[in-house]
Amino acid sequence: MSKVKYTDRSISAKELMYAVASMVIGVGIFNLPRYITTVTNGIDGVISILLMGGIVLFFVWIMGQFIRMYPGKGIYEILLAIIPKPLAFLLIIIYGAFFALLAAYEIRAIAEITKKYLLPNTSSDSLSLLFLLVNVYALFGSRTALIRINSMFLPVVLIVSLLLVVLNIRIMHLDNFYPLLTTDLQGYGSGMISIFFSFTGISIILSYSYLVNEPEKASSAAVKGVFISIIIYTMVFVSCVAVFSNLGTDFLENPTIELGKEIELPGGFFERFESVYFTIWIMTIFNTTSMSIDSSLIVLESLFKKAKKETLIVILSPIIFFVSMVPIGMEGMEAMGTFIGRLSLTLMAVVPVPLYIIAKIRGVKK
Amino acid sequence: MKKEESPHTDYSLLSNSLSSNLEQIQTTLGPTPDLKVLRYEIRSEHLIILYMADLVDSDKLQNILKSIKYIRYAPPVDLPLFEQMYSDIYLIAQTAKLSKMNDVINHLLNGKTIILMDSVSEGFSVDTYGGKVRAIEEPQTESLIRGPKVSFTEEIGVNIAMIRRQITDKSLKVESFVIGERGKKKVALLYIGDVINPAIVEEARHRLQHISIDAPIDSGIIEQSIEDNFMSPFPQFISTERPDKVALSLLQGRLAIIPDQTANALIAPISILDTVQSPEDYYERWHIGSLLRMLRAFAVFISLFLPSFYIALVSFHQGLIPSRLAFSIAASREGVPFPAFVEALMMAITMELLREAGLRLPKPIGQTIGIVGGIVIGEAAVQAGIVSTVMVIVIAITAIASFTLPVYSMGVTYRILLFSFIFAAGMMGLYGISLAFIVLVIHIVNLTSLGIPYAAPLAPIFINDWKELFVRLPISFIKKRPVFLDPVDEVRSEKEE
Repeated sequence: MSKVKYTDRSISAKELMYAVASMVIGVGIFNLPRYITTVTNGIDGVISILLMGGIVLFFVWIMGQFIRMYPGKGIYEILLAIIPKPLAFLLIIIYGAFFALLAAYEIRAIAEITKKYLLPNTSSDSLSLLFLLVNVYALFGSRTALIRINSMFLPVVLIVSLLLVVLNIRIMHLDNFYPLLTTDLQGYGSGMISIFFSFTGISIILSYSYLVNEPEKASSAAVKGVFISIIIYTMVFVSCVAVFSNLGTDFLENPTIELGKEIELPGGFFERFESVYFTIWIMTIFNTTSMSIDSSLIVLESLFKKAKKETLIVILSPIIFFVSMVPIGMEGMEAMGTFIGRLSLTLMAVVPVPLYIIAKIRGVKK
Repeated sequence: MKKEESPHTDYSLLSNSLSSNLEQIQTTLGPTPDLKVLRYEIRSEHLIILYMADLVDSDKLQNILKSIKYIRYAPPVDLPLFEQMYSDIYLIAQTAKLSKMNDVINHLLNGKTIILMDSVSEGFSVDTYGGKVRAIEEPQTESLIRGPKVSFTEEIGVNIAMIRRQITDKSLKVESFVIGERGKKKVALLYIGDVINPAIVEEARHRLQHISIDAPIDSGIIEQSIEDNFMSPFPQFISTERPDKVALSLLQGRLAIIPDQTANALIAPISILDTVQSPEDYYERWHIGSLLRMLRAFAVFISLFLPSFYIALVSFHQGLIPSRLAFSIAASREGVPFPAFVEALMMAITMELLREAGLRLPKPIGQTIGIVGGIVIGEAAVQAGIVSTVMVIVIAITAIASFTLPVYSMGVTYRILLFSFIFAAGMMGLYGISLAFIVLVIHIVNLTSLGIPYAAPLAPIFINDWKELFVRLPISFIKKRPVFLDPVDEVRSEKEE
């Protein structure tokens, strides 16, 4: 029987692009400008962003190559094909735990920021629980639908980000860019490492590898997805420095959100654009979180082949919720964020490139 | 499962004896005044003509009687009488030979005339279905300024003919199904064979064949028996009384289901954005079409979000309202004893009551309700200090916005969802609205209509379809049929300019 082309449970390369872009853009963007301005002078941080972006693009390209080499195979199967079973088992456990941790962080972060900007009197536990429940609802649906939600939210998020920059043009001062190129190499380096957190989650390319129906286009699609986020990051960083100056950005806890505070819409309907901006931003954080939990689920599914997806969700989500409550205060959150960033960086360094080299040497096993 | 013996499952064959056949028919149907039996004797052979009065068209019946009369007085031919009659009547009406008693009764109840003969264990039926039917009128619920002024009637044959007149294409296929255990009804499945994706037709056919209901009294019952998700508040079929709308949909690569005895056809597969589209968008010039379509999309947002947004701003995020506006809202809310959430709930429920009452009342009184409800209650409630003026404005705009949608059932859906958004905003302000919206999107993206994703041109994304999504670009720009329907014939017109 013939079928309607796209109704089988697979995703196109374009959908992978949206997924990667949505996954990368998450809560990281709120603090990104501050992390960079702490270690760089003037507008120099752009160089850090672009360099790190370049490295990430390379990683992403390699991960896209895995999809090409092992079309229709999940991450665990790819690992098993390349390295011995115990090592593959260890890696996949770390991989799954990393995504669960990332989801926990996002859930907590959204609760903290909501508390700060929207609902000061509501407890962050109930805020994060509600957010988690929405995610669980999404997880109970089909996986393809979960990925396709990105294509509904991403354009909205991009437009709002663009607005955030464009509406601020009036109060930007180019003097804030100077002095140019005065940062030392160490500064660029630590800038790069600190923004890597904003790129965590690119590994979902591997989790969703088995769904991609156009393996040959996967690499370029994933690269395009990351490229979108690099542009957004650069735009937001430049406008933060232009509006607040380097030193000012350094003092603000969430400079990107504060950027919205400066906006005055003509006509006078809203006074504080930042709340609206954040409200819309919840969508992309939802995307990041749901895909993170889903990646964890994929790992669990590949380990416990007989278990039902629903059972795994019911087991996994309370764990994520409790982990999200572990950090105490903003310092705890920062520490957790840093840890996730480092873990992600390690995973990045250990997994794609060496595995790719081994796979190339051993040749593709069918 | 053991089948119980009942008159409905009597598969016995017709017997040779005319009287026993007649007796069996009469006992099955019971004593009924509308079963008419005409007895004839031609060339010393007995025959009876049976029909249900009022179900048959008297003109068609007259024609048959005439041809029987002709046979009676015409010189005899070599053929047996039964065969001669059958071939004579075959020329003037739809006929079918019958050998089972069950078929005879079914045909009889479907308005056909049965002719049985003595010493022949076979009979035949002639289609004489008719009787009093409604004339073709103007559409009542989907009125347009420009466009054909015809709407479907209850008569399936007339309805199919109306589509055939719009699309005189040889590949317009009409498949017929009989649905219902007790009220057996014809249901026609229409599609353009070389346009629509065969998988969609296959799916619809499969679902129609597996309906198990007593009697499909209206298209709505069929819709509910074959929809993808019965828990969803969203209609997964568009129900329309406009033949032109069905024709447009067929040409896009969709299918239509037209049941007998209902003035509504069902269109599927649809996406959520089809519910903001009206055929008039295509009849008017593209600027007007685009503008109206965008207006309706905007109206969807108003009808969903306006009250909840207002509640969120007033109860949680007063800082977001510019100071001058905040003063006038505060002034209007002075003396109102309820929180904005309760206030909105009261007004929204009142609005629903008015709408429902206005709908049920006879037309002349219905308008009075509008005036009493809108002006008297609104004004009095504000005077009494129960609700604020701003809230009355907000709810009124919301109600008006929900009426702009061309698909009635969709407007109802949005009004139901409005309440959940009001609750979400009442509990968690903008955060609640945002989460509720995300839940809504998750639901829509997971939903399917005949297996086609409900959010189709948006998720999964099909940029080419956006040409007629929120705007309607000039006809010459829209060369392809909607890609999300994956039609066999993708191009609307082959001719190059």
